[in-house]
Amino acid sequence: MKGRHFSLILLPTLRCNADCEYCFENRTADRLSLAQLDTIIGRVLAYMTAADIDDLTLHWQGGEVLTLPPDWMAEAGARIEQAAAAHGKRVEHGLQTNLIGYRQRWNPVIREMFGNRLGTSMDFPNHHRKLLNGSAADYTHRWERKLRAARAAGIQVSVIALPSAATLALGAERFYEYFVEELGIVDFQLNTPFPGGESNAVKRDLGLDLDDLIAFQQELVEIWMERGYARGVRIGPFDALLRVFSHESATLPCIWGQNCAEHFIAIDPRGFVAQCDCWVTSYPEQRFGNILDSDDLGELLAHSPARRAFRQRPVTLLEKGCLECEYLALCHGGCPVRTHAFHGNMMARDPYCRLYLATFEQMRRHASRLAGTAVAS
Amino acid sequence: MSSTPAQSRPVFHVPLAQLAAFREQPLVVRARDPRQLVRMLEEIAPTDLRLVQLLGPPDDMDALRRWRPGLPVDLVVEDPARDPGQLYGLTALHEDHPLRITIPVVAGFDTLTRLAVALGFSVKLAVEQPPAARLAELMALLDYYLHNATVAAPVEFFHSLLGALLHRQTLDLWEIQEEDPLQCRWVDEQGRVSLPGRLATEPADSTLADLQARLAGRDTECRGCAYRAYCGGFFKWPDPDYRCTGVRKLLGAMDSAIGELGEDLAAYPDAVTPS
Repeated sequence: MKGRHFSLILLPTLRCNADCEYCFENRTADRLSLAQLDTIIGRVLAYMTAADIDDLTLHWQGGEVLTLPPDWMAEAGARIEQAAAAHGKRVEHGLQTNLIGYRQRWNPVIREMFGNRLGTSMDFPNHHRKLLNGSAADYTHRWERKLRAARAAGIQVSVIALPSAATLALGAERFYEYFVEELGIVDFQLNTPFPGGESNAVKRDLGLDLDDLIAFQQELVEIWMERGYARGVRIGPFDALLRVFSHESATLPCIWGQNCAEHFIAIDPRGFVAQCDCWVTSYPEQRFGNILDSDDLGELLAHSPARRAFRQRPVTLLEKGCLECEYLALCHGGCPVRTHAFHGNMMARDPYCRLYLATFEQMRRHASRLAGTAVAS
Repeated sequence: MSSTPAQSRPVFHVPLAQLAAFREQPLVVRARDPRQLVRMLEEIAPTDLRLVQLLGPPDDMDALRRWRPGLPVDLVVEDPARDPGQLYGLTALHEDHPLRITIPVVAGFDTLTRLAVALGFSVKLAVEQPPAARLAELMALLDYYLHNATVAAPVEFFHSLLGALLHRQTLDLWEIQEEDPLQCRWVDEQGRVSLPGRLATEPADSTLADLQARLAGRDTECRGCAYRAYCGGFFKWPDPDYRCTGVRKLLGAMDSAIGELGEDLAAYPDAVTPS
C-alpha cells in the first residue's frame, strides 16, 4: 500500500524573460490572477477530497515564474495554505526557474514557500539559451551571476542540463568539471532533449546520435562514481538508479513512471489542463480540458479522451516489446512527450530506449560492485 | 498474506452466497462483482474477515477504492493469456489495499507474473501438476525471480520455499499455498464444505498426516525424495501417478540457489541474512 499523493505542475504565467531556441512552450502574455488561482486551487483540493488524497506537491513552472512580482507569489502561497488547511490537506511547493529574474527580494518567498530550494537549468556549452534580444553568452554570464547570488543567500540550487552535439563533442570530463568543480553544483540532472512544440532549425537538430550519447553518459557516470559519488555529489537519474539497484527507496524521474496520468497534471494560466508542462501549451489537441470552465476536476479527467490515451499507453507498449524487457519495472515504455515529439505519436517506445537500457545496466553493475565492497569492508 | 500457521480454527473460503451462514468463522470471501462484494460485506459484517478475492478479475474495481483500506485483496486471474495490460489499471487499488495476484500455472502465466512483479504486486502461483512446458517456464521464471535486480515483490511459492530452504524451517507447500487441510476449508455455492483445491475429493475430515500416510503406502517417488519435507506430497494430488522429475529439478534449482546464497553469507558473516 502506498500513500496518497498528487502533483500539480502549475504554470502561473507564460511570460518568459529568455528566448531559448529549443523551448517547447508557446509563450504568451497570459498570467494567472489571484482570483483564478483561488478557483483552480479550490477545484484541485475538492478533487483531492473526493479522491481521498491528502498530499499535494505544487511544482511552479513557467513561462518564467520569477517574472511575477514576489508579493504576488507570497500572497498566492498564503491563499493556497489557507485553502489547503480548510480542506485538511498538506501542500509542498517546488520552484523551477531560469534564475535570470532572481533578485534578493525573492529570498523571503523562496525561504518560506520553497524551503530555500529551487531548481534551475543550464546547458554546457550553452548555445541555445538566450536572453530576450541577447546572446547565449549573455545568458550564461547572467545565469552564473544569479546562481552565485542565490547560493550566497543560502539557497540550495539543483540544475537540469540538456546535452547537445556540442556537449558530446566536449566530452564528459569537461561537462562534469564545469558543473561540479567550477560552479560547485552538487545536485544536477541530465535530461534528454526533444523537439517539442513548434518546429525550428535548432529543434530539428536536437536528436543526438544515440551511440555518442550513450558513450558520453557512461563516461560521465564513471567520472561521477570515481570523483563525486562518495563526496555527496548527486547526478540524476544515476543516483536514483543506484538506490533502486541497491534496494533502497528512490524517486525515479517522471519519464519512467508506471503511468504518469495517474499521478500528476499540469495547468496553465488560461486554465488548460494537460499531462505535463511539455504538453499544455505545445499540443492543444492533447489537452484534457479547462479547469476554469469545469467545476469538477475529477469529471474533467475521467471523461477526457486525451487522458484515456495517456493511461492506455503503457498497456499498448506491452505489445511493442516492453513486456519482454527485463527493465520494464523501471521504465514502462518511457516518456510520452519525447516519443510524440520524435515520432508524432506517443504509442511507441521512448526514442531513448537504448540509452535507458545502457544506463540501467551500468548502474546495476555499480550497485552490485558497491554492495560487494560494502560487505567486504 | 497466507493465514497464520498456528491458528486454531480453519479459514473458510466462501462465495458471497454463503457469507451469512459462515459469518462467525475466519473467512476468505470470493466474488466476481466488486460492488456486490462491498454491499454484502457491509450488510453481513463477518467477524473475522482475512481477505477478499475477486475472480476474473473484473475490469472495474473502483468499488474497492477507499473501501476498508488495508484489507488484503487477492485478484484471482482465470486466464493469464487474456489482456495482461489490465494489471496497469490496478495500480490505484494498490494504494488502498495490500494486493496479491493469484495466477494459475497455465499458458501465459510467466509473462503475466513478470508484469505483475514489474508493477510491484505480490504474486501467488496457483500450481497443480504442471506439464513439461509449464515446468520449463517455471524454471525460467525462477531464474528471473532470483536474478533480476528489479524484482522486489514476492512470488509464491518461490519466496516462502526459498526462505524455508535457507533457514531449514519446517514449512511445506501445503501451508505456503494455503491448501493445508488443517488450516483451510472450501465452501461451494450450495454451502457444501470440502477440503481445498487439489484435495476437494478427499474426505472432509482428512488430515495431511492421513493423506501422506496413504501416499507412503504406494510406491511413489516421494520415498527417498530429497525435498519431501518441503513438498509433503503436494504434487501427488489429485493424480498420485504424476511424475515429479521436472518438479524435483525445479526444487533442486531452488536448493542450489540457496546453497550459493548460504556460501555467500558464510563468507560474510556480518551481512544481514535475508528473511
